[in-house]
Amino acid sequence: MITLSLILLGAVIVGGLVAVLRGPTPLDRLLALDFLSLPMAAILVVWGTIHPESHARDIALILVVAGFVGVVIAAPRLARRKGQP
Amino acid sequence: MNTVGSLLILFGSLFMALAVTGILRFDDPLMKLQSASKGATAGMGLILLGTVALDFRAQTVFFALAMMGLIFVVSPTVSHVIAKSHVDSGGELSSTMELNELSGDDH
Repeated sequence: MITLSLILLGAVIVGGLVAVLRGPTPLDRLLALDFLSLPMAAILVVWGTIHPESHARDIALILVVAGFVGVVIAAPRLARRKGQP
Repeated sequence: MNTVGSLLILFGSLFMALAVTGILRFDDPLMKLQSASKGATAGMGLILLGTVALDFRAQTVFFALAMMGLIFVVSPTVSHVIAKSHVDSGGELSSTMELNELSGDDH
């Protein structure tokens, strides 16, 4: 059942990548990229629980923080670039 | 305990799949934002609960609490920043919107 969950999370990541490629505006792409950091972190958390000797859970924590900082810096810049004529 | 944890992880993955379905099918960034942030937070919470049920040790419980607290802080902040950028840059709003609280001259 955990293997099924990992396969489902992989399909979620593929769907998020499709949304990144398809989004009509830059903010849509940024939103999908921000969403993608959570399924990736979820896969790392599940993997780190199955194999407790690996450092996968620390990577998941850092991934979430890096995604947060990137989106908070990028979103107002994208909006300003779009708002200027 | 093993079955409960696996089931919780499976439900969390299903919530993530619902969230990505919302991102793929909605057309307005504000609607997409609603689906993405709520679905991903619920899915991540269920998955962390499942890992706690699978492996009930102090480090797993502490990690799950820390991750959940981080996501509860990060996810609304990111949603607010993206939505504010969308509205400020004059992005088009949904035709079904009835009340726009940011439409005043000073916000």
